Amino acid sequence: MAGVTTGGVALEIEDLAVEYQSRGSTARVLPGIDLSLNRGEILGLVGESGSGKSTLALAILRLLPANGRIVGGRITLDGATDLTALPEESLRRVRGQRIAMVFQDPLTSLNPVFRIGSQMVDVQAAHCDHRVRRRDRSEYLARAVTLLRQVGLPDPEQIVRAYPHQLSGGMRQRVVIAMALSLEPELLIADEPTSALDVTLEAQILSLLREIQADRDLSILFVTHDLSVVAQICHRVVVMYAGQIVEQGRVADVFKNPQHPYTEALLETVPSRGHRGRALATIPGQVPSLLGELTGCRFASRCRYQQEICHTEAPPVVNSGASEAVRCHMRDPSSSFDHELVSSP
Amino acid sequence: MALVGTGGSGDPAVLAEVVPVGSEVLQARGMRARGAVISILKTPGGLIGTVIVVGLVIVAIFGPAIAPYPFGQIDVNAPLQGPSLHHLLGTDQLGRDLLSRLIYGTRIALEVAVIAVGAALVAGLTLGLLGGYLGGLVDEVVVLLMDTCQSFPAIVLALALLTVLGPSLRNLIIVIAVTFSPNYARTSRALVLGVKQNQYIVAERALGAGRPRIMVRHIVPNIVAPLFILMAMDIPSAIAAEAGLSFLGLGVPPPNPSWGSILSDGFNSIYQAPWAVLFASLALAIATVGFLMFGEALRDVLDPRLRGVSRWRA
Repeated sequence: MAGVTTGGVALEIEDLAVEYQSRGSTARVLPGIDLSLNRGEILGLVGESGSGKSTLALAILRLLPANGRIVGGRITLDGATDLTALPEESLRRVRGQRIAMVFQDPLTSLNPVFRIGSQMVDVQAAHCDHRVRRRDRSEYLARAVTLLRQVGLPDPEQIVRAYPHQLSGGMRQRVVIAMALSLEPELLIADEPTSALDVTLEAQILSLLREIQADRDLSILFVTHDLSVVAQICHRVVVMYAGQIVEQGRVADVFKNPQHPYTEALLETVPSRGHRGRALATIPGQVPSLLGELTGCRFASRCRYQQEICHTEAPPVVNSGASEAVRCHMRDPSSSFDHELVSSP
Repeated sequence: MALVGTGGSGDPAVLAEVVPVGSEVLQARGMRARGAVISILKTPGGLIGTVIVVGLVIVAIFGPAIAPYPFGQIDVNAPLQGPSLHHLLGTDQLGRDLLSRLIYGTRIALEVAVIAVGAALVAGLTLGLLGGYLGGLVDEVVVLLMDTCQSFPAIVLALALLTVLGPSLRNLIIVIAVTFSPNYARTSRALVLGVKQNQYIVAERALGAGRPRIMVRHIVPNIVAPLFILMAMDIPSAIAAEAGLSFLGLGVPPPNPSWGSILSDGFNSIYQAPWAVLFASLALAIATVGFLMFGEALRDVLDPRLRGVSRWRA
């Protein structure tokens, strides 16, 4: 896998907090996220359902649903622009032109009443400063054809004339990716782009994304719940649990030697050939409700190493092993956690 | 079962024709538009409805050329006549030719119905779109406005408005549009609420589309089909509303002929000459039924939930 090609930080998220409101009660879904995405890097964002990974992805472009809002923190694009403070009109230009997004379900990501070509022309025209003339439109259409060819669609001249329902799921996801690339963004947010596809298509789309990333020196934030996808495509990984980042680091390091008990348990749930015939591993218990005040470690009740301190004190973020950051008492040498009780690493 | 074996759907040759393959997919669309027209004409109701609607439109457009007399030409010597060669449908109490008046009446009926329903569509769609997409306070204002409008019986609201505004063709159109628009606002609001949940709307926003663009370019095309059906079904009601209000003397002011005012004039002399009432009612009935049949056939074709399950195909 190609390494990080250029230096610098593409996206820096500092202490980002997001709340959802529902019938009077407020849920602080993301209590304070710190995250950085290097230029030319594919960063995997993993976690189970409800861990806040999609919320984080949507919050970056301020596309949260009506009952959600950002209540604190900064999202800095390319070291200069704070997206949380940007007025709506400037933000509209960032969307698409600098950050593009690919969604989970390709079957519903395209407007069913327009031809593919007209949707792709429309995206380019919407970001054009002057009024779009007929000549521009034919240029845009030619560009759409080129893009479709680049994402590996056969016969793009025919596809621009097709309606979304005439294409298969895999073709549609390629169209969506082509559309996302049409304004040459520097950052691509992919929110489970392969979850709705079968495994063969998934492999194709993943290798396409990797190619595009290498060709265009794109940074990609790849949201997924599938660890094997992370292993295939990402350079670094961020593990989320109940709205918090519990561990981050290089994929090889984190997967080989997970430092947080949740990451460890998560990796054990991946079925492997050596475990044939055995019951699939699960993590008992459930994600805590985010509606109330939470004390201690959010994973404590499901953790196999839990001790008293885990339920009373919030764990610090520390460096441990090869991971860059781990949120766990067990990895904090200065905490009162009884390390003697834990036999493993 | 002989029926199953010979049925079209199992036959591979037929299937190949129905399921478009490869580039033929792209030619399918033109065929679909033509197919829609053909399916309307294939149903007996659709055929009759279309014939009536087309006939009425022709009569309305070419009215002055078809009508044997100007609608206001009075012949005091020949009032309340029965049908004859001079006056095919007879004359009214002032000796005006009934056929000519009915022909001009067609013009007014269609003009009022089409413009009023069109205006109701535009107004209702705009309000429903704003309320449904923007939500919040805007939505509450829209809903309140529509609830207020609909809390009056339509006829009472129309009478009150017309009494205030005074009878004229323009006011008649305004009043009918106002009473019809809440239905469009409600329907489009409900449709918008459904469409805006779709991922492609979020995807459009993620690509940098602004609110006006999303509302007009992306939502409207997704919701117009049901609204057109509603329009087709509302036109007969609007024709009836125009006739009703003109019957009460609040519609088109005389001497302009409206089916409603012809009816009401005819009632005064129903014992001497029942023709006026008879023919005006007949015109009204034919127009209403014709537009209804056409609307229903259109709905069967445009509404995907009903497509293919209508009675005639079974």
